[in-house]
Amino acid sequence: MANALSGVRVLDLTHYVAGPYCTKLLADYGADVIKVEKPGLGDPARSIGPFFHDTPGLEKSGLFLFLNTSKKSINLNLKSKDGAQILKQLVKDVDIVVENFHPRVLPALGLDYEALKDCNPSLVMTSITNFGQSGPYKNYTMDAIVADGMGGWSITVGEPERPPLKIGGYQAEFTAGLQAAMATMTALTYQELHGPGQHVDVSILESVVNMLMSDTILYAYTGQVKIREGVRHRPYPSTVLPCRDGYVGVIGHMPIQWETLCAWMEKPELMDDPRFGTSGLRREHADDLDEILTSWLADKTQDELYHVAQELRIPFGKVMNAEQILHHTQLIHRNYFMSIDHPATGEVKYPGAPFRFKDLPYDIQRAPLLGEHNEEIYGRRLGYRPEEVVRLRELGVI
Amino acid sequence: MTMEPARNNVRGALQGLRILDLSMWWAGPRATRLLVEAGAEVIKVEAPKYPDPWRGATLFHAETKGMLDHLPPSQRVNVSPGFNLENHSKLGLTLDLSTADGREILLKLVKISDVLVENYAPRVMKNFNLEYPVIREANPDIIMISMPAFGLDGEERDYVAFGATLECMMGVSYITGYEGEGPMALSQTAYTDPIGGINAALAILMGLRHRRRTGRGTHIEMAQLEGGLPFMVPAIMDYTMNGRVWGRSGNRHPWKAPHGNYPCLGEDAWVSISVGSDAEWLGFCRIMDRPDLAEDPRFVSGKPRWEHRVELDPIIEAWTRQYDPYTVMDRLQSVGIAAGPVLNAAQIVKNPHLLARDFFREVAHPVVGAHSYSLAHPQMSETPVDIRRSAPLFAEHNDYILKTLLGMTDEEIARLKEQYVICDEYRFD
Repeated sequence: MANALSGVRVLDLTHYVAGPYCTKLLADYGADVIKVEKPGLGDPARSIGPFFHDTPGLEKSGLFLFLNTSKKSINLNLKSKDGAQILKQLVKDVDIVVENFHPRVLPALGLDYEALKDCNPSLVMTSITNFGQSGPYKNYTMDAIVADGMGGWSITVGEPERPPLKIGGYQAEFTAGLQAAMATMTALTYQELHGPGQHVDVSILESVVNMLMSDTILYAYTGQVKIREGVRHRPYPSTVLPCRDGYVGVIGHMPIQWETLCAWMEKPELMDDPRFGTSGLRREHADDLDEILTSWLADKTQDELYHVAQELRIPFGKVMNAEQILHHTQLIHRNYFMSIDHPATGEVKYPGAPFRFKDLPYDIQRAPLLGEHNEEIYGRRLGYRPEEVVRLRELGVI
Repeated sequence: MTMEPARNNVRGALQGLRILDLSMWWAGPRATRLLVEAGAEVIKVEAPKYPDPWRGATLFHAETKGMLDHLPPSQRVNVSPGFNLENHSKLGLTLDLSTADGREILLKLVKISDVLVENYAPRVMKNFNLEYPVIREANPDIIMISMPAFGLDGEERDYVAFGATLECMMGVSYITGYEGEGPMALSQTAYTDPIGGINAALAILMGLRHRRRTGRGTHIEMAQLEGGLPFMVPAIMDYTMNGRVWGRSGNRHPWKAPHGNYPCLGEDAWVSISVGSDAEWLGFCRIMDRPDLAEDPRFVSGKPRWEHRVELDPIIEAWTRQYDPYTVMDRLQSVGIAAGPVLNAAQIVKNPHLLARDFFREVAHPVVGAHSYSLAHPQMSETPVDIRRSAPLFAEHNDYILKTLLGMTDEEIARLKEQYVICDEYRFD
């Protein structure tokens, strides 16, 4: 069925997390995405877990299976001369190329933006790299912990005097992938309205800096530098504390919220306590306040606190793990998680639509097996005869 | 005064696109900031009595330092660093949507706009009688996006949330923290807000693409929790496939060592290091001038190195402590190892790489003066990504929008001011 991006053709040269998340977003909303994987092991994310039933296998990586839904997979060795020629042929027929190689790689293969633009003048090409296509660190390498650190995030996460923390999971990569999909759509908008394509330069480092809440502009205005404060944030209370069956995010920093919280705790005297008169004073006396809060929270459950707080219009958070997220009634009511069938795993639940269009389906397809669409793309789309495909396979091109 | 707000002559990719923005705080304004940097026109609508709370929300540091004392109350809504960053280049209109006149003006603006953005709790747009069917009737071509925290239906539809609420719900707090200790808060970033903002900008651009293809507008629902959950995928898929629940593992990597944030020379100075391959480890030993470590059977290949990481970390630390983080980065990067300084805001604004890429742009603001603002939209080769002017002062573009765009007369505008449907300046404290 038609979707928002029906008719948009994407050639996907990406691997690992950031690039594949970008093209997954395009594919799940209707774009035709051909993922180019190197012969043999394909996208290295196929070899990174978590694996289905903890059994490694190229078709069993949950990370890969999620990040590559709704795409087609072909094998192609870009390092061979024939492979580069075939790629150029494919480029002629698409609107968008997305790649996340190190900035040295494609120029060395004669496949950089200028070369691909010669094959297709209206091409939108999106490159996702650690540091961007220019600047003194352009050729440096990075991974998630370095991205969180250099991007200014880790220095604010953790306890004072103790090491800054990496954020769990692949937050920097997902963020960059989302930025890339958005910027690709900006470029596609211009291309569809006015004709010219262009090169979109997404930097993972800059993507992380953009997740900071006003940190750099706050410094520019006031000289204030944010540091690590554990779970205690300013203004206070905005923190995470244990309750009977887990942890909750406790909020009460705005005057009306503080008043509500004191009434809820049945401790109106705290309103007049000089230690807690303002959010700044409450942060200064956080040890005292946390003791009061923790003993009040001790016999209450996460769910009770979460729902009652909403009735009182103070948005407590429920600190959920993956199991709780899968069982959260609101997400179940909304049919958020989708069961996707795959030959190597059977039906497994995946996170669903990040946003929903009225009257348009969110109809995602399972990730492709490695090289599953070789015949369709080389044979039917490019018109190679079967013996040519055999020859290319023997040469290690596909 | 009627004037066309100043614009550079450059053509942004989204020039000609007009966005009507009812959103407040951070997520919605981030969405329209991304689009304004690529050339769209954004009309930001604020109630006369209720300016965007972000105009005050990031001010507490300045307040405690007495930096606002010299300003009259009407100007204090114009000096928030966070507001001025997220709303640069937008046009500011005051309008009370709870009045019949205010609603009518909004619907006139809907007729001449391509996109309507709102991030109220669902009950609010209903109370204004401005839900999608009403908007669509005024302009069938419009792309409307709603950004509730938890969705437009279900028992939690009207639940409100801050970034600190949603980061707990999204599960990122649960998997961030020191090993064996409690979950960590990340709310200094209100993480789900920028995720929601980028998702919304993407969704708007997809909605416009749908309109180009079919000629029809649409309504998009971007529930902020749902937009953030894909970022939790390795943990979520490990649960759905294996029943495993991820906890907190500090800076430990599941198979790489050394991996962590190591102390350096200087106050709160750290360097992030991640060693993936044995070749990288040999390079590391060369840089440290420790051939003995290269041959040490505990560290000779990936698996034993990871198993002996508790013995390895103090060795790395003893070396990193002798140098500043930039020196460690340059030396390790010279042999292809992922390493970089753990930067704070003061260091980021001076970072030579970001400066070389023009990541910051200096913009003058009539009340607070000139500062460097970061760009949120990635750079593009053919069309500019830019900051065209400073964030709107409260009510700054009333006249341009009401007179030039809607053709209203001075008398009509005077009547609206009298009835406080619009206003010239913020009069409350």
